[in-house]
Amino acid sequence: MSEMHDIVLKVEAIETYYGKIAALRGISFDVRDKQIVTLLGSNGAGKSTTLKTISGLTPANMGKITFLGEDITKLPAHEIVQRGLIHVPEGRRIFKDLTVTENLELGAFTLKDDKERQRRIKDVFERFPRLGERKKQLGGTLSGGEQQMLAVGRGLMAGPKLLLLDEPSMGLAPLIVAEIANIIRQLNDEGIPILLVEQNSKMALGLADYGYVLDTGNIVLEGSGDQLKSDEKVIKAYLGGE
Amino acid sequence: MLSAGEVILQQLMNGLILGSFYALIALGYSMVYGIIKLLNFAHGDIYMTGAFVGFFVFGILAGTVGSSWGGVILAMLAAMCVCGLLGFLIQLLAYRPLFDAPRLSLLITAIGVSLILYNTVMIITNGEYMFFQHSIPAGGLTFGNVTITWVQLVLLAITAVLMLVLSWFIGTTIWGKAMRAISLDKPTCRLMGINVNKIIGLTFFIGSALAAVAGVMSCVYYGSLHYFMGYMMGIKAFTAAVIGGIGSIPGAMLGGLLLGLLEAAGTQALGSSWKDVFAFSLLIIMLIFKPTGLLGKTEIERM
Repeated sequence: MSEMHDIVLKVEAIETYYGKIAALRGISFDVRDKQIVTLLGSNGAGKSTTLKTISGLTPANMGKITFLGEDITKLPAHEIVQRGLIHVPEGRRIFKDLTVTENLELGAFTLKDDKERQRRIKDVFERFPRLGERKKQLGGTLSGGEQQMLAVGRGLMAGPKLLLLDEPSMGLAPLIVAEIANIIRQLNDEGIPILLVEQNSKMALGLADYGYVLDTGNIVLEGSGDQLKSDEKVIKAYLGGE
Repeated sequence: MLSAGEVILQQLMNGLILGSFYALIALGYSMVYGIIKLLNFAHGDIYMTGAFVGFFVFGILAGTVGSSWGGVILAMLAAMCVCGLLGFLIQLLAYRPLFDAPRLSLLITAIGVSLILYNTVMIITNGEYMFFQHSIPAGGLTFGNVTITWVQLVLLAITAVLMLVLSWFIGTTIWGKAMRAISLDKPTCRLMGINVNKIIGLTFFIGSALAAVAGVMSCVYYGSLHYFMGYMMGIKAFTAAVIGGIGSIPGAMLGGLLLGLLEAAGTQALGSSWKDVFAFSLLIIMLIFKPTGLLGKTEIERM
């Protein structure tokens, strides 16, 4: 049955270097349609670099990335966005001197039709009413949770066919983390496949259909969310249990 | 003998005109600094080149459209296109390869581009003064013994229109918003699907076109042009950009006009040989007490 799922993203043996230092040493994995896939690992394991490599910010030196059947390995970041692969970066990266609405508008920069852009902003405000209440405020004045909603909303503006989320729970209070987890679940229920990078492994494994564990630029373990949750090594290293 | 009010009116006009030149050039400095953190020292020479392009186009058109406002406006449009393209090409060929290099390399390259531009114009013009002879009707609005000329009023109107159009463009169009976003965070802009290099190119085009307008305006106003005219003007406009807060677009407008007005006041009070001293003293005072400029922001690099 699982063979029937289409592969949305196929990552094959990618290697990425920062200067001479290898950040990724040949990573391969898939994201299938309607899945939430998570990448776990400690700081510096290469999780963020994996996302940046996929979205074209730090292009791969070796290997191949296929998105919806198209080889995107060598495409510049802005052209990858046009294909519907949307990366919500670590630390949210809200344009702090631009208003909430302007941040959202830029999320749909590639859209030619301004009416459609305004319609999507309305959709985001319906999904996140708190952003609607603050639409004229500067992005930098929002709270951490609101900024994360804005970052996700900005990603949705582009009409994603795959969403890469980098540490959406970072620095947020537990209550807000739960809220963000609900949002991710809901987006996935609406049919958006998600590749989730998290330090908060508990949250990530609670959401994920499938997960990979990264260590110093290699994938050292993979399995379904439930398999990983009950894996002793994972429990010890990432779930803080015995 | 002029009354005090008449002197003020006259110097106010002088200051506003001078300030218009500064503001139009300062905008290019500030936009480019905002987007790639480069002090583009070739910008004054773009102004100078604009003046010469306008001069030659004006000369060619004089036979057909005459040498009044029609010719001036067409010369202005031609200078905007040529200098806009020139600014874009300089950015593409000289600066873009160095975007990832240390900032000092860019700065030195800009100085090199400046040398190339003014030496080229020096060779073409034999280093001689050129005279811009137009037949714009004299006269204007007279208040007592002071006449505000039509030339002054039209130049101010052109400046005002350009500033309004630019403010509209930066403030409300998606391209303008992208420009502001790029000055804040380039990698994230790429994740929005923004072709960052394209917007940087556009910024150079617009900034250079505005400097070209100032160049043609100075032809009309002063009546002469010279390959070295961009040097002091460039430094003054840069001063204006710093006073307003470099990187800030309203700051460049405000800084330019303010510098023009203060220079006019200084000229009136101390004599014209002091006006540069006045301008640079203001710069020094500004740098001591508010180094970020009037409308500038403290830069905090955040990840």
